[in-house]
Amino acid sequence: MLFLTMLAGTVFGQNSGKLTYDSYELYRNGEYKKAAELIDRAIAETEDSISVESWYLRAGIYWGIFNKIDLKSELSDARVVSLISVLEAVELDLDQIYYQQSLVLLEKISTSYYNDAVSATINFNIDNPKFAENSYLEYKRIQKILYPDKNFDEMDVSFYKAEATSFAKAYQVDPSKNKDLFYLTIEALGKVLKIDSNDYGANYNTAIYYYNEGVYQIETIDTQTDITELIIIQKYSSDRFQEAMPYMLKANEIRTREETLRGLVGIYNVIYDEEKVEYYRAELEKLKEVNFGNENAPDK
Amino acid sequence: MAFQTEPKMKDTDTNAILKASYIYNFAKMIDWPEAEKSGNFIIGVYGNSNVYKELIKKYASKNIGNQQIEVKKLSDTPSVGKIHLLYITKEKKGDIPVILKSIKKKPVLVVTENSGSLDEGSIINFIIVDANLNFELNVEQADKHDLIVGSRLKDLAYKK
Repeated sequence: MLFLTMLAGTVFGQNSGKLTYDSYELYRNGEYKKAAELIDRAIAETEDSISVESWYLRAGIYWGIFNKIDLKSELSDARVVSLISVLEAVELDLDQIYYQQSLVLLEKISTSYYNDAVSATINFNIDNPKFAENSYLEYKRIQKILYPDKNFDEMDVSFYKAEATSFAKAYQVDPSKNKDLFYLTIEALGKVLKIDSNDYGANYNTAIYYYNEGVYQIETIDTQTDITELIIIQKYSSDRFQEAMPYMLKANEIRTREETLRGLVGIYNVIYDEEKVEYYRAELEKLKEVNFGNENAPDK
Repeated sequence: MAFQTEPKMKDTDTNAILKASYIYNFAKMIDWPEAEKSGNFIIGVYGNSNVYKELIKKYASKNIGNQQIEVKKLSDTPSVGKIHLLYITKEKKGDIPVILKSIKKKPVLVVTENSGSLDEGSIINFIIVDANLNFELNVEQADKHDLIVGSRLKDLAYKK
């Protein structure tokens, strides 16, 4: 109903042609598809191609299709057409007659992309792993039009952590088949660390994912594994363990906790550095003593 | 957008998996005298180690040639008896000289994991090279025990 309200004061036919006017009438009656056909023709075939009202109406019609006919499907092209149209309307709207209403629509379109991003991280689709990120980037692109000075760092951190978790969960279902998702997990956490290299969770999780990937590959060793393959697997895993190390050290530096010390014991153990294993094991025991009996110990 | 729970670190004993696989491959790449090619192929593990569990879990039903693998955990008295391959864990390194004396020249592949064990008479010794598990090989000792080491295994063994 947004557009019925905001177009109420507009007299189509004065500033626009008949096709646009007829389209508007169909739109008012809820006949979105027919309205879309006419408004597309009006813009393609008549001088309405430079009419703010026509572009604005087109944005509204396609937004209606997205909501009422496509039922907010993430695959709907109507939302894209609506977005293109409202951006065109804003550009043509030199007197800013529809400016405020356009911003309202842009906000709604932007929110719909954000909702898709959230939904896709929760209901991850392995066949389209980047869908959430693409939706989030579209949300950000529109938000930057609305709020050019907005800082997205905090939101980016939150999004990429959620995305990393969704990648990792899907990867863990079958690590041997879904190795691409391991790399996507690391990539997503890398984006967090690029924004804030002192993010404890991103450092810790990156270390764990590298470590676990190394372990997964060793777990694939079976009676069919010949010695050459064994050496290759071991080298691959050892490389992942070494990659885990700096992140776990960093996490431990940011916040020394039992889990980071356990992590360091584990990583040094698999790369056979017994001296370091003993050192961090001793540190872990010391911390456990400090934490003993204190259920609220922050570093547990 | 909430950050979900943190991942858990896997607690698999990767070292045991690697060593068990190496041991199985050693057995496949070494030739025992004909007289030893009947009955089960016996792998003995002396000392506490997850390698024993790993060998039981993955390899106990497999064959070396026509011989089915049988994995035995040896007691504190290292009475070797009939055995093809003997893996001695690090904690039992003090017993190595006694064990080797009892084996003498029998065709037993002794696998250890202590620096200097090759000099004591071990045939294969696990070592760590660049954060990776590797192995060194004493071909002369293998010859003394009538064991023929495959050329590929010789090539892959770590050389100082």
